[in-house]
This record gives sequence, structure tokens and C-alpha cells, in this order.
Amino acid sequence: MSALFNIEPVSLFVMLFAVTLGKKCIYPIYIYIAMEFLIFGLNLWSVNYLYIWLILAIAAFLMRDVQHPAAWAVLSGGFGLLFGLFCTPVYLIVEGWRYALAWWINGFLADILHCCGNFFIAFFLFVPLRKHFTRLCRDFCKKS
Amino acid sequence: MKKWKIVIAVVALVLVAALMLGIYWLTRNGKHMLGSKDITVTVVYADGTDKVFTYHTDAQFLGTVLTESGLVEGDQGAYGLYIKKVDGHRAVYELDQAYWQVFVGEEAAMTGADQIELHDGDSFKLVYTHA
Repeated sequence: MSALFNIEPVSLFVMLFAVTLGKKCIYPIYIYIAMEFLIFGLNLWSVNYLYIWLILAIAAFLMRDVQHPAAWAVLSGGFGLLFGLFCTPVYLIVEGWRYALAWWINGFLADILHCCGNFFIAFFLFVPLRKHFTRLCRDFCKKS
Repeated sequence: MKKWKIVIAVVALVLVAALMLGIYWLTRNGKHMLGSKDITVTVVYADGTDKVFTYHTDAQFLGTVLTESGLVEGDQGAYGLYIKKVDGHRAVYELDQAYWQVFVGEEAAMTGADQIELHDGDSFKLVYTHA
């Protein structure tokens, strides 16, 4: 899906892992992060990636009792909208507040697109996929 | 979760997105409000064609803009940033007998890109150069 700028299923899967695996969701999340580093190399964004998906995972875990698809869409959309903000601490430290602020504002359009993509993907897919993930996890846990 | 809470959350999301869009539009029209700099980088490829990239940045050095934007890939060497790829086009001396030469305006840079300070209105060139 790399051709679709800022449209990604990662947020959906992070939320699904968080609600079905609990604390063990860090394993698939950091395997994903390691794959990103291997494929795309290391850069300043790599530092962002070390903590940014944890934010969503923790929020999803705290919301695990919520069932309504729109609520999950808001969480995922809100995360996409604030993605740039969550990335700015790295640039704040490396380049200073003026650069960090300019960098964040320059990315507003990308964040809005990220929000829209995340919102609709989560709205339509989170609830049905959660049922399947929960069943898969239960079956896997039984066998192991 | 009660439905009215979800409705409020959706409305809040839309409002924040609208606010961000408004701020983005305002800063495009009042681009010096944040004290940012506009620079241009012209890439001259091996076949002689060129492409101009413009940046609106508050970075202090050229190297920061080039790497953060993804225009260049390179390594940190003893003399600073060694540019290996520009816009996906490789020029590594040992492999291609070519390199990417950096120009500040029309003059060849005397330092690496990560040591070239940026000022508003600056123009740079990255020229594919055969050794």
C-alpha cells in the first residue's frame, strides 16, 4: 500500500494486537518496527517509530471494553491526525522548537489524510477483524 | 460507550482537522510568520536533465533538509555527509566513477552539505559528475 500516501493498515493491526494480545502485543509491534528499519534503513524517523506505535497500543488496550466501531474509528483517526505531533519531540531535541513547529505544520495535510484513512479503515474493519483475531488467539492459546 | 459521547468525539476530530487545515493554509500564505526559509535545490541528472525541488524549512543546514525530505541518501564520513543517491539515482565513486557535486548558487561547495548553512532564498545544485 506504499503507493497510497499515508494510507496504512498498521494502525488497525496495532489496535487489534493490543486488544487481543494485551501486553504481548509489543512482540508483533516491534517485529514490524525492526522490519521497517531493515527495509528502509535508519534515520531520524526511526527514533519516532521506537515509541509512537506504543502510544496507540496503550490507548487501544485501555479502550478494550469498547465495542462500537465508530469509537475505534475515532481512536485510529485521532492517532493519524496527531501522528505528526507525536513525532515532533525528536525534531525538537535535534533541531530546536522553530524547526519542530515548522516541520509539524508542514505535515498537517499528511496528518489529515492519515486521519481520514485510519478512520474509515478502522470503522469498517476493526470490529469484524477483532472477532477473527480473538478466535484465532483463543485457538492458538488452546493448542499451545 | 454511549452514542452521544462517540458523536462528540467525531465532531471534535473533524473540528481539530479543520483547525489544522486552517493553520496550514494561513502559514502557506504568511509563510514568514514562523521565520522559515525557502530554498531551491536543482538536481542535474546524468543525462543532463534537471528537476527543481523547493523547500520551506527552518533547518540550519542543507544536509538536514536533503536527508529529511528523502531527496538524498548518504553516509556520514570524515568530511561530513557523503551523498550516494539523489532522487533515487546513485553516484558512488567506486561503483559508478561518478559523484554528486554540491553547488551553492553557481559555485562549487567547499564543505559537505551538512555544513552548508541555509538562508532564505538560497539556491543549490546537486550535479551528477563523472570522475
